[in-house]
Amino acid sequence: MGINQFKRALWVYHLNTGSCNGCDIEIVAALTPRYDLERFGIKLVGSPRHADVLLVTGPVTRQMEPRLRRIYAQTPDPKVVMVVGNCGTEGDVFHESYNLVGPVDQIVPVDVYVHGCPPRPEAIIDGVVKAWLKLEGVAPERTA
Amino acid sequence: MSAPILTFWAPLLVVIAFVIVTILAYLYRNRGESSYKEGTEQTKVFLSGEDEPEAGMRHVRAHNMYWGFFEAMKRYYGPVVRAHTGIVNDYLIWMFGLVALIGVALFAAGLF
Repeated sequence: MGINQFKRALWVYHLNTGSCNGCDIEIVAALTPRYDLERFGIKLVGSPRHADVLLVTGPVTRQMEPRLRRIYAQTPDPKVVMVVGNCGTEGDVFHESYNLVGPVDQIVPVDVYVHGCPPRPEAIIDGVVKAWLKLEGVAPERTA
Repeated sequence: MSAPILTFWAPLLVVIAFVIVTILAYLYRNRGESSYKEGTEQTKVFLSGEDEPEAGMRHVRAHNMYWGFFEAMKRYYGPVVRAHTGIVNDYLIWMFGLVALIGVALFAAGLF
């Protein structure tokens, strides 16, 4: 897999753009002792300026669109955008709702999709690993 | 028996400690993320996705609640309110100016 090339811990900023909190609870579940993502150095941070990965949940409501654009712009390069849940991926039951401008890839470029309503923690961890590999591919200076 | 030159509250020790802490803070700051692109959103303040307001608009207004107070004492409040711009730089200028004034007064009185 070559994942040991990444010398730094992977820090993730989580943004909820109108999710029902189902996906958010599963993201927190991935950090609990049962799955314990933090043992790999993967942790949630409070600011996109510290993050390598922008993790987005929710179908992007009209109010959240400028916030999503701004937070994406504030995340330092190289970055990976990861969408967790069906809502952010394709709108799910809110598809074509009057108050939505999403899904997420209509607003910002997305690198990794994790399907499910909500996805299980195992699926989220698999998505994080894919994001990590993608980040290694776009960040050769960090793998030296 | 003469008093020791460097006691715990000696001003020289405070200055030395300040310089050491400043150097350590500068070195710690230099270890941070350096790949931010200047002049873009990446160097702006993060306010949970909100746009950064103007420097003078970052305080809570309370004009309605204290209208009577302001009206009765507007001759006093007028200049004071104008001085409170909400911009930190202005307050620092006030502080440095007053410290310099007090220093000159103490020096003139022979207490410094």
